[in-house]
Order: sequence, then structure tokens, then C-alpha cells
Amino acid sequence: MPETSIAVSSAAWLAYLTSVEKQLRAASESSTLQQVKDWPPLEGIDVLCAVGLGELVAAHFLSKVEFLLRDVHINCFWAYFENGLANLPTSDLEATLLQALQELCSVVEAHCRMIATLTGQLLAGSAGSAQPLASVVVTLQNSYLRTVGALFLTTAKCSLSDLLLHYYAGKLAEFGKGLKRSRGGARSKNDENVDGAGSDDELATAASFEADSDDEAELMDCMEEGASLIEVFGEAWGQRLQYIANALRILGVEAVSEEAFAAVVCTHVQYHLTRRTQRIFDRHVLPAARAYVSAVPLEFLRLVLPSGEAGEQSLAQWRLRLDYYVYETVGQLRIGEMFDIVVDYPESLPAVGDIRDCLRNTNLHQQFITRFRAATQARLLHAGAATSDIIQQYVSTIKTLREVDPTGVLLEAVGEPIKEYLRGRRDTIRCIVTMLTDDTAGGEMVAGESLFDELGRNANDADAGDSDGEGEGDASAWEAALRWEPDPVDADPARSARSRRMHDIISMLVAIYGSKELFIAEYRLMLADKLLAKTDYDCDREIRTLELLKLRFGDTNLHNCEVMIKDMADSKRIHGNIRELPTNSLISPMSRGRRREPSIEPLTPIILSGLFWPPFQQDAISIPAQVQIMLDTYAAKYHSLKAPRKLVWKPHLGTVKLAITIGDRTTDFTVSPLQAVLIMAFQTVSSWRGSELAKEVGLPPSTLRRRIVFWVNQGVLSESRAPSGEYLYARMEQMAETGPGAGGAGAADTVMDDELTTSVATAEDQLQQEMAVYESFVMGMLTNFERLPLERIHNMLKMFVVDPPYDKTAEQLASFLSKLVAEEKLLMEAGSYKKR
Amino acid sequence: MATGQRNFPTDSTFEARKQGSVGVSTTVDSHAVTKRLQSELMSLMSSVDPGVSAFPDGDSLFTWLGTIQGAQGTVYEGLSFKLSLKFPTDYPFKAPTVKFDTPCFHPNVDQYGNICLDILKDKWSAAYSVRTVLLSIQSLLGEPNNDSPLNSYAAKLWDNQEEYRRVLHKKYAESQKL
Repeated sequence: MPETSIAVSSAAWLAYLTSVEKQLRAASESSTLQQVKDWPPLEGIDVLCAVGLGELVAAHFLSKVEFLLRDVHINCFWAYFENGLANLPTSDLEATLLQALQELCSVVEAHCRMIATLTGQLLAGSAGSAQPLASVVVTLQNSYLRTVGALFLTTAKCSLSDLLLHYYAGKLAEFGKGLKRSRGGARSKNDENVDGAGSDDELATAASFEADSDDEAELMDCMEEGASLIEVFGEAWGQRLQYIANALRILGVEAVSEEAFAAVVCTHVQYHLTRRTQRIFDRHVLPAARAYVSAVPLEFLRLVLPSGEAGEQSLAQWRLRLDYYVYETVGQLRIGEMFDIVVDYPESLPAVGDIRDCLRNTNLHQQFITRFRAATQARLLHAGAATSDIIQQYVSTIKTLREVDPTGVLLEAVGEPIKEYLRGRRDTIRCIVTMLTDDTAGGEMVAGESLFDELGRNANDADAGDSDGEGEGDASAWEAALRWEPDPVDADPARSARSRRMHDIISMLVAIYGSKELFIAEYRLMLADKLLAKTDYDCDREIRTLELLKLRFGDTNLHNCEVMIKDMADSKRIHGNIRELPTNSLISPMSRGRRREPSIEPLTPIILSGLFWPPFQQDAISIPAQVQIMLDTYAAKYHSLKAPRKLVWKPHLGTVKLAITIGDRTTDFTVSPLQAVLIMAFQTVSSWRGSELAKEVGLPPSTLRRRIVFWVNQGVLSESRAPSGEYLYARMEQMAETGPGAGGAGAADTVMDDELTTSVATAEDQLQQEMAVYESFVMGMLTNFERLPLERIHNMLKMFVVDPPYDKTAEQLASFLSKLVAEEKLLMEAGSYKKR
Repeated sequence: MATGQRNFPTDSTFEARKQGSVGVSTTVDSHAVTKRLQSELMSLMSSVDPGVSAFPDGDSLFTWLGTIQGAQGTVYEGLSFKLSLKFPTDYPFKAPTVKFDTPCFHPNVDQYGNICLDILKDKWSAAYSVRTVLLSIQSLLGEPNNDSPLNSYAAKLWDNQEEYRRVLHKKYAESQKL
């Protein structure tokens, strides 16, 4: 390089340096020099470019500017916030922020313009030269902006995102409140106070909450025309916000800014939705929530986001994002309260609808299953919950989930643990059957009522389904094929869609046990109980239930029950015939020597076809002679009418209506035969010793005492103890005023005690009876083996007992063995059973 | 006789295996044996004979454990003896092998527990059953056959019932301690 050109170059460099210094100083004070639009070109650039130093110039300029920014301008900016932000109210914060940003921005803008000029110069200067311009020159502007952003963030004295979060949150809250206020003058002072509390206030009172909800509902309307915004705040409010957002964009911290307002908007929406959604199941939240979101947060975003096409685009994105966010948040909130929603069904139908929409638009299914299952586990499936409650909740769950998810996948996943648990409860079947058949109890058994209705409804459905299934040919099959939809992805592929769609509640309840046999057996027991308790042969209701059940389970399965009901009708007919039978036509040894025919008037027998009824509890009692004569007479008449059939009485079943007169008062009772026998013993004898009475009625003394307590409680008998320790029972000559019967003014139609309701051996008793067969085996085993663990006994029974085959579970055996232990036949030692 | 006792468990399993490979007819037979033993078990369980009991030993129907209480009025009263019963695969046409597991001081029982009883040997008949066998052994305890003793000391001592009782109870107590 020639000497001269070096001199020229260094002169040009010096000129460049001076002009840069001058211009930068000017730029630093640019807040006062706003009017400077075009920066004069820097000196010496063309010379420097000509000698190929353009790149050097660019790099130098950049480092110079960077130095200046770091040491002066950004420090100035942060100086505004030296005191921290916690104590700044939003308006002050805004003013401070605005000023700081304005200063910084004007500097940056000045720099930018300088850079633009410089770039132009450099490009022009090097146009002639052969050397291509390095990328640093071309991207000068961009690198500068990047530098600004980086510096801005790294030199921060306090977190910029915190600062912005604080600011945006304040603004958004103001915005939301302002919109409410914009509804005009119809607000009361009270509402103003509410607003004063601030929507961020976690401790918002219930009253303010109510006011809020109302307001917001109306707010939706007024938001339809968005103009009110400016009316409320004035242009400046929005402009300030816009300016700050814009400034931040210029400063290259758009990402931080966006993060901040995204977080603010999300928090706001979440808070709002939580307040609107929690524990409110009787209202659709989603439409209101979505309207709110497009009214408040989205309008807010419109201000914050850049205007123009890019802004419109990101606004559209935001709209979608917020929509999804609403679905997700509402979904999560609702899922958390799913259990209560189910409890409140059907009042909670709107909430259920919300959940359905949420699940349709989000991927919350897995979460739904997990959380709902957990809630059910924690709140329902434990020892403290009554079986009927669990079943009721299960039914509600089925109904609810049917609304939520017609494919049944959710139900399958959620219902499984409930089914599992119910299977472990002893009284499940009994409860289901009761709920299914019992709609007479009225108020407290609303559950049963609905189940009975369900039975009727489903029977109709089943009809429809059948005709559908048979198909009117190809047409319907084609239609079905067109309706087909694939299973949802989270469905268990092991099960067929068909089994899943089986949503009918009764079959689901019955399916708890996997088979209908147990169910039918229990129904039979129940039916037997009910029929036996009847005194008037009227069983229309039972017939109706049975018909419905027959539709469901098929005629053959319920054949026994049908015979039982038919027995009732037959009994009525035979009873009528027997009563009309003239007494003298009797040629029975019973009545022959007697002068006077005993009256059979008080009897209302039910004649059972023994084979078809469930086994009865063996509870022999000796009937007083005068009643026995009646029974025998009746039996004889039956024999003469229906020879060669004979009537065998089951005197301990059924009910007895009594009128007991004590003193001058007569009380009606409906009691079990046993109790009737007990009280009849007092008809002639006024007091009995416990042991003698036991012998008289043929009961063990302990049982006697348990039963006779009923009469003592009714105030008909009195109990006392002889010096020997024996119980004495005496007839009361005056109705005790304290007796429950006394309150009923002599007409207390006292319902029988609970003993009566179990005249049919329960399934559990039957099980014990079946197990009794194995007792001798167990004893035989333990005679020959010193001691055996449960498992071994179970296995040996399985192996060696063939007739009848041993088919019990280890649990059933365990309960049987523990009964033997309780009866002091066996000992349980260190996990092994031993003979005593 | 007692000394000629065969080692039954190995034999019977061996035989069973052999039969299994021979043909169908024998398996039908073993099925019949199983059925017979099962029905004997049923009747034994439902009977109420005092002091006699037996039950299959764990895995197989062909080996049983039995218990006999000494009959009332005999020196054996109040004592209880365990026995093992092993049934051949052609039961009930051959007698089961019955041995005392509890050492038993008795003229017709040797130190290994083998029993000399005619119905278990040449007088066996298919009409006998586990129950009758056990009852026979129970009565044998009180009425030993001293003409063909396996335990000559016991046979000699039998006439002196007082001394017999003393020795019996001493030996029984010793066996219980083991």
C-alpha cells in the first residue's frame, strides 16, 4: 500500500472517529432531539471503504455503540427501578416504565437510524470495490438489535420478566375491572366496593362472588361491541400499553414480554375460571368462559400484540390457544370435582356437559380416569360407606359417564374398581335386589325408586334392541355399518366395542358378579320373604316386577319365581273354595268326635309348592292347641278338596295379627308366629318362669329371652328376676304409659320386628349349611394330622371330597373354620388349625 | 409274616407307572380303586365310630393316616396311636398294609410297628374296609392273640395286667417324648 493512501486512510479514519463521537453524543440526547430525522452521513466512510476497511468500520461502530449502551443508557433505564417493584402501584409503575422506555427507545432508534445511514454508506462505498462485503455489514442492523436485547437482559438490576409480569397483571386487572364498570350507571354502591376489593383478591367474599358472576354474565353482552373499551379508559390508556409493548419489541426483548403477558393472561383466565367453576354444577361454564376470554384477555392481547397483519395472525393463534386453555382448565377443574358432580347427578347435568365438551377438545382422558378413580377410591370404596350408597353412586357414575362418553371407554376404566369392590361386599346382591324391586318405601328409598323405573325403561329398550338385532334384512345392517365408528385410541383393545356399549344399568349391576344366577337366587329369596309377609294374596306389584325381570333374564331362569307367584293366586282360589266347603262334608278323624267345628275364619294360608321355594329356616315351635286345631281342620278340608294331596303347615312362617286387651285398652299388633305363641301362653296363665315357658313353646331359653323382649318393650309383659337368677315374665294388667304402644292411642298397628323379615334362610346361612357337610372331613383330618394350615385343609378337601364336590373358596373355608373356632371345636395356633 | 414285609411305597408307585404304560383297562381299574377309596372316606367321615379315624395323607389317596384310641375298659384306654395305611393298586382285592407309626407295646405288634392280624393277611376279604380294619385293630389291642406273638415279652407280661399297664404306659410316655 502506498504511503499516501495510508495517510489518506488514517485521515479518513480520524474523521470517521470524530463524526461518530459527535453523532453518538447527539443520539444520547436524542430525547430532546426528536426532530432529527436523518442523520448526516459519517465522514470518511467512502475512503475507508475504498481501501477495504468497511468491515472494520462496521465492527468498530458496533462495539462503540455497545459500549455506550451498556455503560450509559441501560444503566439509566435500570436506575428507574432501583427501589424494586413491589411497592410501586400500577399507575406509577406504568409512568416510570413509560419514561424509562421512552428514553431508551429514542436512543436505540437514533442508533438504528445511524446504522441505517452507515450501512447505506458502506454499501455505496464498496459498490465499486471487488471485495464482497462481509456479512457483518449487511446484518449490521440486526446484530445491533440483538446486542440491545442481550445487554438489556444481562445487565438488569432486577428481573425484567418480574417487572413485566407485575405491570401486565396490573394492567389486565384494571382492564377487566374497567370493562365491568363500563356497563354503565346501573351499578350499586355495593358493587363498587366489590370492585375496590380487586379481582386479584383471593379472599373475595361470597357476596362479591355472586355479584361478580352476575356482572360477568352481563359483561358478555356489553362486550359484543368492543367500543366501550376506549370510552372507559380513554385512548391514552390503551396507547400507553401499546407503546410499552411496542418499545419492548423495539428493544429486542419481545420474547420476555410475550412470556410475561402470556403468563399473566393464563393466570388471569385460570383464576377467573376457578372462581366461576368450583362447586357450581348447575350451570354451563364453558360458553360463558369462552365469551369472557374473547372479551377480556383477548381484547387485552389485541392491545399488547403488534398491530398489522403479523399481529392479526398471532391474535388468531392466541384465540385458539386461549380456547384450548379454557377447555383444559375447565376440564381439569371439573375433573377434580367429578365425584361431587356424580353425587349431584342429575342436578349437575350442565357440569357434565362441560366435561363432555372439554374431553372432546382436549387430551384429558387419562387424567380423568386417574383422578376420578383416585377420588372414588378415597371417598367411596372404604368400610365406612354403606353398600346401598356405593351402588347408588355406581349407578350415578354409569349415568353420568354415559353422558360424558357414549363409547363407554371411560366408564369401563372408572367402573372397574367399583365393581371389584362391590364384589367383595357380602350384601351387594341383596342391596341391588332391594333397590331394584322395592319402590314402595317412598321418600328414603328414592334410589330404589329410580332403579325400579330403570328396570321398566330398560325392558322397553331391550325390546327395541331385540328387534333391531334381528334385523329387517340388509338395509338395517347397512345402516349399522354406516354408523360404525372406530374405538377411541385409549380403549382397551381386549374388549369388544359391543360389550362396552352395553350401557344398560341393570345389566351392569348384575354384571358385577359376572352372572345372573346369583342375582336371580337372591331375588327369589327376597320374593319369598315378601310373599310370605302378605296377608291378602295381593301381589300385583310382584307380578309386574317379575314380568320385567323375565324380559331381561328369560322365562326359564325365573321359573321358580313364577311358580311362587302362581302359588299365591292358587292359594287365594283354594282358600276361597275351602271356606265355602260345608263343614259337615268333612270326614276327617280330626273333627269327627267334636261337636263343634273349630272356626277356620282367622286363617289366611299361603299354600306353597315346596320344591320351588327357597329353603326355609328350621325353627320349630309348638303351636298352642287352639290354633293347632284350626290348622288341622284346615288341613283336613284341604285334603278332602285336593286329595290325595296333603297340607303340611309351616307354622313359623307368615304373620299373625293380634288384638291384645290390657286393662281397658286394646292394641293391634302384627307379629311373627313365634311372638304370637309367646303371648298366647299368657292368655290363660298370668306369669311364667323363663324355663317353663321355654319348654312350653319349644324354644331354647336364650332364644326365648331374645324374642320375648319384644313384648316387654311393647309394655305387654314385664320381666323380673327370681332370687335364683331365673327370669320371670308376667302379664301387665295395665298398659305401661312408657311403652311405645301406649302412644298410639290403642290403635298402634305395630310392625313386626326384624326377625320376621328373615324367615327365609339367607344366602349366607345356606352357605354355612353347605359348609357343615365338610365339618366331619375337617375333624377327621385334624384327628389324624396334628395341625394343619388353612391352605392344606383347603387342598385336601379339594382333593378328597368328591360327593358333593368341594367347590368353596379358601375364604369361605376360612370363615367356616373361624366359626368352628368360635364354637370351641377347633383351636387356631400359629396359622394352623388344631383339634381341641 | 412280619419279617417278610415288602417296602410298599416304592413298589406301588413303580407298579402304577408300569400300569399306566400298559393300557387303558388298568387305568380304568385304578380309577375304580380311587372311587372305592373315596367312598370309604365318605362313609368313614359320616360314621361316628368312637376312637377310630383315618384320612388320606396329603397328596395321594393310596396312603392314609389313621388314629386309634385305646378302647374303654382296656389297659390301652386313654392312649392314642397313629397308624399308616397303604393301599395296593388292586385294592380291595389285596389287603392294605397297616403299620403303627406310634410305637405300640403289644403282643401282636413288633418293634417296627408291623401288625400280625389275620384279616390283614390270609383272611382278607374285599368286604372289609378301612373302617372295619381300624375297628379290628382297636379290638386287637384289648384282646391280643398270645398264641403267635411278635413281641413275646408283651405276650408273657399280658397275664399280669398291673405290670403290663405300667410297662405300656412307660413305653408310651417315652414314645410321646420323642
